[in-house]
Amino acid sequence: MPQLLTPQVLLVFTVLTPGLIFLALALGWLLGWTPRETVIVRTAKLAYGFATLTVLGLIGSMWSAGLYSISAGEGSWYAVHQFEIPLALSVDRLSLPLVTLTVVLVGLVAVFSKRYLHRDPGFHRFFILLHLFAFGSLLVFTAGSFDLLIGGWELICVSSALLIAFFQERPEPARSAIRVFLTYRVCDVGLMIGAFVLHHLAGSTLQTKVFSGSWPEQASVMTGGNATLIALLFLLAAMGKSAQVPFSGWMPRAMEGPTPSSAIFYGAISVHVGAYLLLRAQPLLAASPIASAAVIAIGSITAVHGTMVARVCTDAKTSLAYSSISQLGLIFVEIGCGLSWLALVHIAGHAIVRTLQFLKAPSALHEFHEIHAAAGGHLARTGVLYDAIIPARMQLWLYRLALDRGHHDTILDRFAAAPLQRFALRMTTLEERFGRG
Amino acid sequence: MAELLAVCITLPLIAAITASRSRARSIAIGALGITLALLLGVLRSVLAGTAGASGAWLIADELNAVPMVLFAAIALVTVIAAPRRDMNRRFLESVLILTSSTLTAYAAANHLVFLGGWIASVLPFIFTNRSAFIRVPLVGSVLALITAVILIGPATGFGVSSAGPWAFGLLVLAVILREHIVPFHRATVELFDDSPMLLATLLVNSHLGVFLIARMVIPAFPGTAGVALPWLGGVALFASLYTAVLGIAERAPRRILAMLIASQSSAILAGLATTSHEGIAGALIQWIVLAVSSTMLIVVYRSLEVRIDRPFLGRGFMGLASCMPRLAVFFAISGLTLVGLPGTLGFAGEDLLLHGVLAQYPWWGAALPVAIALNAYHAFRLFAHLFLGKDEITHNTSADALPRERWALSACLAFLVWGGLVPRMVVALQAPATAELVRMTGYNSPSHP
Repeated sequence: MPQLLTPQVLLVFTVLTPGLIFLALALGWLLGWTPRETVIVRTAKLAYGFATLTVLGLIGSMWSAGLYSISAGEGSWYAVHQFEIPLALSVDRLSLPLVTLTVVLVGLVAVFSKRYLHRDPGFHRFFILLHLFAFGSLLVFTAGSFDLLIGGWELICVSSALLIAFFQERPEPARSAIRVFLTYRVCDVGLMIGAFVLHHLAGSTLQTKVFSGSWPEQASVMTGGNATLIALLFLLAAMGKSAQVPFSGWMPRAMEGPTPSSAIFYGAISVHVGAYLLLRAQPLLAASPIASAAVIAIGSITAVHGTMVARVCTDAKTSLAYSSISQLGLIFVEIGCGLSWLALVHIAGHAIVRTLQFLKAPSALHEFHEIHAAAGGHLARTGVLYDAIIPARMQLWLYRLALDRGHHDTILDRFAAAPLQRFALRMTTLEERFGRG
Repeated sequence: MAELLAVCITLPLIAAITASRSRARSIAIGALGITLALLLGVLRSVLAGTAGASGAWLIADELNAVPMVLFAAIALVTVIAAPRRDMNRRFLESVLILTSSTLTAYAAANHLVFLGGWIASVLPFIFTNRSAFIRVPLVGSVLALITAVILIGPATGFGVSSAGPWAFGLLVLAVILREHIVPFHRATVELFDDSPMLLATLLVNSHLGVFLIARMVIPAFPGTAGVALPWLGGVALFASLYTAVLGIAERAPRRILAMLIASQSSAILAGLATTSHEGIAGALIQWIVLAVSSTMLIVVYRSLEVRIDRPFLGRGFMGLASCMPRLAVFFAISGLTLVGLPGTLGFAGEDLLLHGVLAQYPWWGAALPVAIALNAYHAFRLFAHLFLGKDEITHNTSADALPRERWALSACLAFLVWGGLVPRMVVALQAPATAELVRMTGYNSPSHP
C-alpha cells in the first residue's frame, strides 16, 4: 500500500466523505444551487462507494498488519488551561463492523430512495439530511473520546428529528418530531453529565486513557461507585436513543418519516447507537454489578413490552418498530450479561434484516397476499403458545396494556410533563398578576 | 489607541445625528462598518501586544477588545438585515446611540465613563416603555451602579477598592438587574413584547452586567469576588433552569424567544461566576454564540412578522418553510447553535460551560444540562411551529430571504460554522481575557483533583 493510504488516512476519508458531501450540498443550496435528482443520487453513490472502498482498505490493512485497533490524530481540538478536547478518531473490533454497516446500508438506502422519493419536493433535503446522519453516525462509531462522541450523537438527534418532520405539510410529523427531539435531548443529559464525570475523575475522555486493553477485553480505570454512576448516566442516554422502556414511545411516532429514513434510522443504525454506547462503556458495566443489573432489567422489560405491543399493532411500520424495540431489549440483556460479541453480532444481524423489512414495508400487504395464495390460504397462525399458557382474563388484560403501548406515554405525560407544565403556567400567571399589581 | 476608541464611539453618534430620512440606513451601515473595521484593528493590536498606553478615559485591553468588535458586528448585521418597515429614523438613531453608549461602557477606563455608557444605553428603553417589568430593573440597575460608584470613587480607575461590602453588594445587584436574572427575568419578555425586537436583542446582547463583573467587580473586590461569585453563579444557574421551565408555558413565539435568550444569558453569568478556566472561557465563547445566534434568530423572526403581517399566536403549524426555506434553515441552525449544535461554535461554548459549571457545582450544576435540553426543545418547537405544517397563511406567496438578509445571515452562519470547525482560534481569542479573570480571582481549575 502506498505511504499515502495509511489506515489512519483511510479512516479519516471514511468519516469525512459524507460530512464533506453534506457541506457541499448544504452550502450550494444556501447560495442558490439546487442540483438535479440524478446529480444528487450519483454523488451519493460515488460517496458511499468510495467510503465502502476505504473501509475495505482499512479492514485489509488492519488484517494484514495484525492490528486490533488504529487511531488517527491525537491532537487537541481545543484546549483551555489543563482542560482539553482531543480530536481523535479510532476503530477497533467493535466499531469497524458498525462503520462498515453504516456506509453500506446508507449507500443502499440512498439508491433505494432514488425511486422512492422521485419528484418529491423534499428530495434534495432528504439527501442532505441523510449525509448529515451518516457523518454523525460515523463520528459516533469512530470517536476516540466521549466528547467527540457527543458531537456525532447530537447530529444524529437533529437529522433524525428533521427527517421525521420530512412530510412537513402535515401537522402530525411535525408534532412527532418535536416529541422525539424532546425525548432525545432529555436522555442526552445523561451522556453530557456522564462524559463530564468521566473527564473529572479520569482527567480525560479519551477511550485509550479511561480503558486499558483492546475491546472486548478492556478494563476500566474506575471502579465502584464512580463506575456505577457513569454507567448509569450512559444508560439513560442509551435508553433514549435505543427506545428502551419507558422512553420507547417515540419510536412509533418516528415512523412518520419517509420509509427509507425509517429503515436506516430505526431499523439499522440510529437505534443501535445506544447499544453501541453501552458496548463502548462495557468496562464500566463490568466494574459495576448494579449498572449491569439495571441494563438487564431494562432490556428484559423492553423486550417483553416490544413483543407484546408489536402483536397488536395494526400497521406494518409500527409493528416493525416495536419488533425492533423488542430485539433492542434483548441486545441490552446481552450487554448487561457481558456477552459483548453476541450483542455485536446481534446488532449487525438485526440491522441488516430490519433494514430489508422496513424497505419492503410499503409492499407488505401485497407480499402477504402472494404468500397467502402460494400457501393455498393456510398460513399458520402465530401466538398459539401464548394462547395455551396465558389465562384468558390475563390475555385480555395484556391486550389492553399492549394496545395503549404499556401506558408509557400516558404515564410520562401525566407524571412528568403535565406537572411541569402546570408549574410553569402557575408561575407565569402569578408573575403577570404581580406585575399588574 | 484612546483616540481611535473615541472615533469608534463618536462615529455612530455622528451618524445618528446626521442621518437624513432617505439615506439613513446607508449612513448607519457606513458608520457601523467603519467602526467595526477600526475595532478589528484595535483587537489586532491588543492581541499583538502593540496597543500601547491607554488614556485616562478610554482603554483597549484583552477584556474589552472582543466584546467591542462583537457588538459593532451584531449592530451592523441588525441594520443591514432589519426589515424596511423597522427602518424608521427613530429605530436607527436608537441602534446607533445604543452602539455608541455600549462601546463607551466597554472602553471605559474609569468608573465615571463606565457609568455614563451604562446610563446612556438604557435611557431609550426607560423613556419608551411603561411596563414596570422593564423600568424597575433598568432604573434599579442605574441607581445601584451610581451608588456603588459614589462609594468606590467616581474618577478612579479599575483597581482594588477599599470600599466596604455595601459597594460590592450594590454592584452585584446592578448585575442581577441588568442581566434580568430571576426575579427580574420578566424584563426580557416584556422588552421583546413591547419594544422593537431587534433593539431589545441588542440591549440584551450587550451583557454589560457580565462585563461589569469582569471590569469592575473582580478587580475592585478580588477576595470577596472569589467567595461571593460562586453564590451568584448558583443564582444564575437557578435562573437559567427556571426561565427554561417557564418557557414551557409560553406559546407566543416572541415570549419563547425571550425565555430562550434569558435562560442562555443566565448560563453565561453562571459560567463567569465559576471563576475557573473552563467556566470563564465557556462563558466568554457562549457570549459570542448567544450574540450572533440570537441576532440571527430575531432577524429571521422579525422578517417573518413583517412578511405575514398578523400576530403570531404560536398555535398550530404555520408551514412557512415551503415559501421561505432559506429563512427556515437560518432559523433552525441559529436556534440549535444556541444550545450547542455540533459543527458550530455553540458546541465548544456549551461544552466548556458545562465542564466549568459542573466542576464548580457538582450537584446543582446538573441544572444547566437540563436547562439546555429544555432550551433545545423550545428552539426546535418554535422552528416546527413557524416553519413546518401546511402554509395556509401566505399560500406560498411570500418571498424567501432577500439578498441583504441572505448575505448578512450567511456571514453570521459562516462565522459560527468556522468557529465550530476550528474552535481553538476562538478559544485563543478569548484566552487572554480568561487568564486575566482567573488570575484576578486567584483560582485554579477544579477540573483535575
